[in-house]
Order: sequence, then structure tokens, then C-alpha cells
Amino acid sequence: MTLKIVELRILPPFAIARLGSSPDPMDNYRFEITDPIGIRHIQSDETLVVDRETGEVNGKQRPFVVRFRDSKYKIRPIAPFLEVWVRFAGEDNLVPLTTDILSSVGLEPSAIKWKAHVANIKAYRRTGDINDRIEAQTGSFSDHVVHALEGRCNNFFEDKTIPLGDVQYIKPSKEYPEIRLRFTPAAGKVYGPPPDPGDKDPNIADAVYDPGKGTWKGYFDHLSPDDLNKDPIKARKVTNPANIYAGKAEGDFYQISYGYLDDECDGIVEVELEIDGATLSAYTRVAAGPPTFAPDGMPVRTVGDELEQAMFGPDLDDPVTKQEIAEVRDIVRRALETVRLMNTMQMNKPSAQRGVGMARMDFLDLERALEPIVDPAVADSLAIRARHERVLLALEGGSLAWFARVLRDYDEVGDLSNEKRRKMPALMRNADGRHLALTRRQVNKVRMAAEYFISQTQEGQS
Amino acid sequence: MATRLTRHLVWTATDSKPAADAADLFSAAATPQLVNLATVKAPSVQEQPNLDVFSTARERAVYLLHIGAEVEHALMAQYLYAAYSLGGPHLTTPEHQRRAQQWRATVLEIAREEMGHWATVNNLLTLIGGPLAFEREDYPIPADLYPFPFELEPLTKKSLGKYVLCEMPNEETIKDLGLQEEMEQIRKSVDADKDKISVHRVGIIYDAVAALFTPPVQPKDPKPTPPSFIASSDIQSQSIRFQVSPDAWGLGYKDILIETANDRTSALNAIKAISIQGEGSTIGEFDKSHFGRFLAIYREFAGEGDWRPAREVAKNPTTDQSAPMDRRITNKIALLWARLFNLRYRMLLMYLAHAFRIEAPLKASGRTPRGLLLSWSFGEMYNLRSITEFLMALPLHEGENEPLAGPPFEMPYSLAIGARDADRWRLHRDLLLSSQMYVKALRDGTGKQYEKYLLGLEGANQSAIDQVLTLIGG
Repeated sequence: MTLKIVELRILPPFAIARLGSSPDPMDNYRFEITDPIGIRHIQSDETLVVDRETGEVNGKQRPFVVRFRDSKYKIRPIAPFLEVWVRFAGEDNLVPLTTDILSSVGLEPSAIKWKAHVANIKAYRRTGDINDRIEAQTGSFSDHVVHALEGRCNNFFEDKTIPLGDVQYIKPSKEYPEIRLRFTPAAGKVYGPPPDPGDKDPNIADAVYDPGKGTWKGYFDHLSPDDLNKDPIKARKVTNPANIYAGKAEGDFYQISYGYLDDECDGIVEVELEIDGATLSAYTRVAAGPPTFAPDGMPVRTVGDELEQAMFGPDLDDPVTKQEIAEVRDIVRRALETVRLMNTMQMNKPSAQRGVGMARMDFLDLERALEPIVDPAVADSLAIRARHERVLLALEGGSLAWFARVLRDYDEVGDLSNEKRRKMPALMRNADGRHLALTRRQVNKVRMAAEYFISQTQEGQS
Repeated sequence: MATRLTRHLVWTATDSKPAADAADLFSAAATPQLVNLATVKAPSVQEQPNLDVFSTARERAVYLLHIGAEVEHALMAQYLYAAYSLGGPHLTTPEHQRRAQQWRATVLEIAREEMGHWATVNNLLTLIGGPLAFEREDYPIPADLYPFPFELEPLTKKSLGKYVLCEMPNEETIKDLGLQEEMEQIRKSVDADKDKISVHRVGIIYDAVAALFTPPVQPKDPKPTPPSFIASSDIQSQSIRFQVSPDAWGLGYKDILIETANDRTSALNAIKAISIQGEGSTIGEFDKSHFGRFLAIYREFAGEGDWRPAREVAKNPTTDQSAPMDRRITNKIALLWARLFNLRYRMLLMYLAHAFRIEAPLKASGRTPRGLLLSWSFGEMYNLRSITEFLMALPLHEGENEPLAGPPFEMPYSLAIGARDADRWRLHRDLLLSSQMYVKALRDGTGKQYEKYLLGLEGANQSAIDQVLTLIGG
């Protein structure tokens, strides 16, 4: 009996690519933790090798050493595969869609239709000019050639585009029958307007932006008190913190944009399959961001934590599960990995100059007196790192009480008392320019784990 | 070392009036008096330490602060032991588990506060240029110097009674609180008379120190010789940079009360702060004082024949293989853990001793290894807690279920620290290397059971060793 396909999915539902100019995409790797308080170790993993010409998978390889740059020192892009999964009528589980399954319903791989639509709207976010949107669409395709994502924009010069990467439907074979598409991000180059007459701009890979059409070059965030009075809507559209685009400082308030654009993007990849007159479809989100330069560490708060909170809410069910305990261990480890990369002594300095941390932000934004965040005697990077290592070690002994007590709550991010400024994560800024807090769900998870450890001790199970 | 303190302390029963009137203490002949609670019904009979051997006020203050530091240190370890004994698989009802957990949290909090007092006392010693006081005797400790015989024991109604009496404010305050009768009952219940236990109130030590910091109105002629109070020239404001601050210790969290002092007023405030929180003559907020918190637990605590909130851990466990069997840890794995505990305890004390000898940086950009030592000290407390948990799950003797072992808190042969800084780091290196040997022995002997913790400890040791070697160029 033929099984009936009732649902399509593309997995993962959200894929993050990382820019890189090497033609050789990054190999798969995974983390291994061998030392409970040491850094993660990167271990190579099996990687599909794709022939870009034919779109076929040539084989699997597991490199001996994981390398993030190729032999010419170019960064290898992270190019995720997007796999199509299906659910059959009466089943709960998804299974990978293969050529065999397609055959079983009388279809060829060419029945699969892909479509990608990505955009870079960073300039548009600031100028508000819809003609500053950079978008790329492939239209529907079922072949296996590389489909370039050519970023077009009304304010570009005629025939100019920014390459935002490409997508390729991987040609299934007997050995690799799965239905998948690969999204390869762009190289990580800078684009913009032509340099002024007589000037050279070594940053720009191609002069695409026509300053005669758009206002991105010369744009500035409307930050002055006068701007707020004259055009409060425009002033309110300014990001916080503001002036975080490439440009030249002018006066006390303004940052005049160079008109630079990058080749990052995000968007949607869709798949369609027509079966028995019905069209099943699915989509996934893709994004291309900058390369990671500390791949063996993870930030203490990630997009993943945000998504988890968005999906499941800030509270957890009692009692905490083993999985959640493992996640707490990971949060503490990520805290250690984060401080490992911080020059805590520098970030603790009470100075109004650029290049220091939150004391500056508190002073400039809120006119708080300039004071270091933590006692300078203990701000040394090694000391802070040692403290985090010991907390992680204590977790193995079943204790988390101190760490749980010192976490900053979400409603304390603007409390500038010394005690609150020293809460964890310390010395770090959130997206609003205030002190960073973990997500509410992360904080609750840690606190519940701390209580769990205490109760475990009660039961003599330490 | 600690016994030398005792040698200078001669307890004598007198009929002198209580030491409530601080002014009496300022006469050159006056000495601080410790109240014997065994005599609570007859307050006119007092005990007093004979301190006449000391001729100057500063020297007397140093001596008394050393007693204070020893007592705080001993109380801290004793309370930690008591707190960690609470709980265990024998508690089957959620209510019993909840209450044991609550008491454990309270006693741990008090133990942490004793550590803050201990640090404060050392800050005061630093202020007047006295030697630091990290010593104490091994348990069980006789009562001649201490408020009562100190023992590492699981928390029981009787041991709680001793803690209540030790942390009790003066008689006047007890009277004001209307607790005279209850205190009398507690005194009886700890068998003070039967066991000839004299539970001394610690607060009197701080009263006496406060008096020595307080300048009385001086007669113009003739001036008393030697002065009856600590001279201003002996109070060194610049010493603040050698003192431990709550900012440096707990990254500024208000968990622990650590007071620093840079003049006479701040010294008096520091003494007042620790007195009010615990052991003092007066009491601030009853519910927040050590006395109030211990009394609250005492009132709720299960009596004999009722349920047992604590695990059946040994009294005064020791690694000494010639000690009586009811104290001697013979279980090989427990013995290794206990010895590692002693070593890590020593490391903690040495980090602290070293940290007190390094000046805090003047500027935010200044770098000293002081912060590293404080972070390591902080980490050691976590290690001691973890090892305690392991110990209290292991029997004292192999093949028996009970009693369980516990952390011996045995003092090292010496807490003296090298005269040169590099040699201090060499000591840390040696202790870390010793710890690595214990880690190896435990890994060899226990297989997978403690593998993750031991691996982590090994990594932390190695990272600390690397840092030490960087500092001493080795």
C-alpha cells in the first residue's frame, strides 16, 4: 500500500550561514567536552562534498583537521543544507524525503520546486526609503544548477547588483537519495557609492550605490535635542545605541554615513510538491551573518535562548528535568567562554573614552558618576576567569547557589547602583545600551537547577 | 600556635561587677571580662582573662583580636559542619526535607557571616599593624579559650543550644527581650552543669576591643602611662589597601558583611556591625541576628526521640590513624577525600594570608595578583563544599553504613608564609601539585564515580599551576 504524504517540512526551520570568500565551504564540526572546566574541543564531522557544476554529492569526508580558512587564507563560508522531510498520513514522525519516497508516489525529483527570496534592508531600516531595500529572488526552479541571489535595489546604478550568495538544489543520487538544497552565503565584501572625485576607497569591492538616487550616503541618525523637537518620529526611529554604521563623526551628535552596504541577508526558502492535484508546501528561514572568530566558545545569551523563550515562555515546569540541568551546565560554560574572550580589566575602566565598557555607557547615557563596575582588585581577566572556572567545577560537585544568586533580573538592567551593576553577566551591554541580563527563561532555569541541587543534597544523592 | 594564646589567658572567678560599663575598662589595670553563662542566675560572679602581661592598649587589642579571629574561624567551620550534616536519605517526608533544607540554608548563611567577621577582625589587625590571625586549634577544642568546647558534630538540639548561648547578647538585652527563663532552660538542656561546660559569650571580646579603640577623656596631669587606648599614630589609614573588602571578596554582593576600617570611627563601626549581627552584647534586628536565627531553629528543632534532621555523621572526624575509632576515618576513599579536604583548606588559608599581604591597586588599570588569590579563595570554598558532600555520603569505616565521615578541618603544621613573594607562590605551586597527587589517587581508586569532578579539579589545578609558574618564571 502506498503511503500518503500529507505534510512537508524543511529542516532546520532556521539556518544561519556565515559569510566567507573561499570557494570551499566549511566542513562540519561538533564540540566535544573532555575537561569539565576546559574549553570545548572542535572535532571534525562527516561532511557532504558537493560538485557545484553538477549539483551532485561526490561523497562524504571527515577532515583530519578542522580549518576555518582555505590554503589561500580565505575564510570558508558556512553553507547550510536545507533538507525536505515529510509526514505520512496516520504518522506522527517526520522522515527525510528521498527519491524512493518520491517514486512510491509516482514522482521524480524534478517535481520538487524551490524558491528563495532574501533581502538586506539595513540601509532601508535607517533611511526609510523603500528604494534602499536590496532584494534577491530566484523564482521557482527544479534544476540543479547554482542559482545566484543577485541583490537588486532601485537606488543602485543601472545593472549593478550585490551578490547575496546562491542556492542549489542538490541532485539526489542512489547513494545520497535525500532531497536537499544548499544555501551558500556571499563572500563578506563591502559595497557602496563611488568614492568622491580624486579619492580612492579601498574598502569597496564594487561601487553599486547611486548617491544621486538615494540618501544612504550622507545619512545621519537624528540624535540632537533639536531633531527630537523638529521631527520626533524620525528621532524615535533611531536605533539604541545609535550611530552604529560606518561613517564620519560630525559634531557632538552626528555620524555621517559613508553609504556602505554589506552582503549579509536573510529571507525565506520555499519548497513545493504537487501530489494528486494537491500542492504541499513548506518554508524555512535562512540568514547570513559574519564568520565566527571564536568558534570554540558560545556567547552566554544567544538567539537560541531568545527563540526558546519566545516558544516556551519565561517559566519552566517544576521539577527541572535532566535536560534542563544539562542546559544550565551549558549556560555556565558559555559564561566562562564569554569571559575568556573579554579584557575585563579594560571593560571595567571608568572612562568616557571609547573602548571601555559599561561605566562609559552609564556616564554618557544617564550621567551616572564614572566608577568602575567591579572592584579593580578583582577585575583582572585571569581572576574573573578563575572564578567562573570554579563555579563550573562546583556544578560537578552539585552546587550552583552563588551563581544563581548573582544573576541580573530582566528588570534590573537599568539599575545603576553598584550592587546591581555587578550582577551577572557583568561588564556587558544589551541591545538597548543597558546592562545585559540573561533571558528570563535562562535565569529561571538556573535558579530552578540551584534549588534542585540543594534538594538532591537533601536526599543524599550528591 | 593557638595554645600559646591560651597560656596567656588565666580564667579567674571574681566578684567584680559586669563589664557593662566600658569606662571601667580604660583604667590601666582593667582587663576584659568574659561572662560565664553557667552563672546566668548569679550574674555577680564573673570570669575574667588575666591579660596583665600586656602593657599597652594596642598589644591588648592585638591579643583580643587574635582570640576573636580564632573564635570566628572555629565557629565558621563548626557551623559549616553542622549545616552540611542536615538532610540525607533518611528524611522521607517532604515536610522534614523542607525544614532540614531551610535550617541548612540558615546555618550556612550564619557560617558565611562568621567568615565575614573573621575577615573583619583581620582587617582590624591590619589597621593597627598587628599580625594576621588565621590559626586555630584542631577539633575538639577545649573551652579555655573558646565560648564552649568546640566540636565538629551533626546538628542536634543540644549543639544548637550551645550555639544559641554562644551568640547570646548581654544579660540586660536578654532581660529586655524577656528570654531569661528560656535561656536558663537552654543552659540546663545543654548539660552545662553536668558536663561542666562554661559557655562564654563571645561578644565581650568585641566590647573590650571597642573600649580599647575608644579614647576616654584624658586627665591633663598626670597622663596615664601607658595610655589606656590605642594611639592615633598606631591606627594606619593607608592599611586599607591591604584589607579585604566586600567589593573585592564577593564582587560587591551584599552576601557577606566584611567591614574595612581606616580610622578610629570606622574601626568602632566595624566592631559594632559584627557585634550586632552576631555575638555582640546588644542586638540589632532580633530576626536577623545570629542569636535570633539560632533561637528560631532551636525552638522548631526536633528533640530527642523525635525525627532526626541530620545525617548520622561522626563527631570530630580525623585523619589521625591513632585517634579513637569513633573519630578515625579508616575508609580508604573517605580518608583520601578527607586528606584532600585538609589540603584544600590549607590552600584557602594560604591564599587569604597571601592576599592580605598584597596591596590593592590604586587605579582601575592597576594589576596585582590579589584578585587572582581572592578568586581562588572563593573557588576553594566551593571545593570544600563539594568534598564535604562526598565525605558525608561515605562511611567512616568500610563495611559499615554509619557513622558517616565528614570534613576534618584539620589545621596544617604551619600557616607561616614565606618572607619573599616568589616563595609564597612556590608554596601555592607545591600545594597544587600535592592536590594533583590526591586527584590521581582518587581517580585510580574510584573509577567513574567522581570522574567529572576530579577531571575538573585536575584542570583547575593545572590552570592555577600554569599561572603560578608564569608569575615566578618557572
